Amino acid sequence: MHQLTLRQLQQGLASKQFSSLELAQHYLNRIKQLDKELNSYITVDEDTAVAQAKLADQHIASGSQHPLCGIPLAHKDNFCTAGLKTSAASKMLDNFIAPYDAHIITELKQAGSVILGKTNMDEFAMGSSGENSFYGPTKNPWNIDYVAGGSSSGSAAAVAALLAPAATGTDTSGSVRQPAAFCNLTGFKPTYGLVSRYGMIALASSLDQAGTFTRNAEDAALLLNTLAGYDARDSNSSKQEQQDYSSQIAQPLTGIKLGIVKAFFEQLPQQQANIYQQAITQLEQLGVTIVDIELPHHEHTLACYSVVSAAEAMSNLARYDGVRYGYRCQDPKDLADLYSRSRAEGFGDEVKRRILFGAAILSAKTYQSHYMQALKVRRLIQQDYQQALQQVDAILSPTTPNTAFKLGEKANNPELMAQQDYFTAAANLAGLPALSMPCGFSQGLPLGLQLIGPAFNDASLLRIAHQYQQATDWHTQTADFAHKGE
Amino acid sequence: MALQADDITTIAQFAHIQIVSSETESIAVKLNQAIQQLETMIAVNTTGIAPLINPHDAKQRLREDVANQPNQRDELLSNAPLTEQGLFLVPRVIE
Repeated sequence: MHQLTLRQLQQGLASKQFSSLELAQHYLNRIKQLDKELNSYITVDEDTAVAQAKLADQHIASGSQHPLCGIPLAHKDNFCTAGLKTSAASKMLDNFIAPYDAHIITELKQAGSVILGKTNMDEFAMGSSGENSFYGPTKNPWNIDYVAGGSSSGSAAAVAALLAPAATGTDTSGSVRQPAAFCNLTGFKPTYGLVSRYGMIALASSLDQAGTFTRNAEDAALLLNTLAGYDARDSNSSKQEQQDYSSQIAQPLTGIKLGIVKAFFEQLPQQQANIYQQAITQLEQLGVTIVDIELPHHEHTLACYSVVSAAEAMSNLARYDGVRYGYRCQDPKDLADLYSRSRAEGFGDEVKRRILFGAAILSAKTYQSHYMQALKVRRLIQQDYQQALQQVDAILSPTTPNTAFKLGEKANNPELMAQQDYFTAAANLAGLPALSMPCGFSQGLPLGLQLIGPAFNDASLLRIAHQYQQATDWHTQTADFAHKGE
Repeated sequence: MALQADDITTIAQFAHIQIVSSETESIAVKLNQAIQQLETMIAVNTTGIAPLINPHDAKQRLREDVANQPNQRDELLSNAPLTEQGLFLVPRVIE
């Protein structure tokens, strides 16, 4: 059962090969058996999962045909889930029980899906390895001495280890796409505004977007059909018309143009460059034309991202003050002490580093020269992508500069860690949809190929990925770890 | 723009994060390393370019000033570390 995709699970439930209760219990048992070693889940609430599964079985019996009815899912622990601990992997929220559901949780509950649990992540989504969690790092099922990627480390590891058929994540500069690449999954970040951020613990409000981890693009489209849609509670929620994101995926790719920046591939180690060349050749065989493009301001992506995200994070994390929820220090001598000691003790080192960096940037001396300058460079980066996307249907690049790295290898070097976002952060700065799909292995570790498309052309990206996946089988491969004890 | 130890004290106050004075040097080093990475971006010519605050240049939507949620004080207090009579408690502010 755990090897089935969402679509196959839907068919299995509809044809009564198994029930939602059997499915939930199967995954819950696997989590008990395998997750101690991986550390992909922070919270698993068996009683709630079983109750939801029983309810889903009743809905199915009385004719519910929602494709997600009865399907178990895992959720990154920065989505509020009513009645369940929601920690953002931080000591600051270790005792926080969310009093409401995030928008995407509401939508998925209404569809009849089952919450298996809340997954591990970098604290407040700040990280690219999964090593910044208050609950310890998440391991990569492909090699447990290696990171799963971040910040959505637990969601990626859980799906890759077949401890959930799909999971949600959040992506601010690559936090869905990079762990997807590291774990051989399809990671999808929709256009900014397509999926409501209500109830998603904020890191950087103009960059954050909810995304998905699935074993293929077809499943990503299935999830997007439920997640996308206007929500008045997210002031940037798009009023784009509802569409069926699965409707185009069967269309062949003849006539599709994909843009590449040659330099992106030339800087890679030869083995990886060869794998990407094979993927490009495969796409050309499917009818795609490859076009050389330029993105002149791309070299400023990481600097621009670091300023914008730190400034917004500093503002968003100001709410954690020990007063209304979260960690509170002992015996504060006055209000200022309450705030500053609760925050010093409740936040981890990387979170504090970024807040202080944001505070430094936003001070009077540097507000214009650094912060406002970064916002202007942001527009230049967006313009580059928009101009390129007038010539091509999507842009193709590596998802990451490297495969997964060893635990501890980059942990104490934030500048080195930031390089993980080299290819992914621009899509967040520009608000564009982006996807990572498996395209091969280098020394036993997966590689991801990234597609970035025009705003609100999410269906087109899913189609390109699906057609590639019809002609290749990289995405079907699973880690040996996932088959332990079978 | 190299930050000194005094700057770190001010920044930490601004951010409401307590730091001990022995940490200010090492924090200054870390922040200065991060700021150094920005040099090339700072130098980009952005004359005539408007800042991009929101990816779709969207404006804040407004709605009618009508209450649309029920009173849910108990839920909102449910995670508070210290409360009394429906209020969040903090150390005395007014002497």
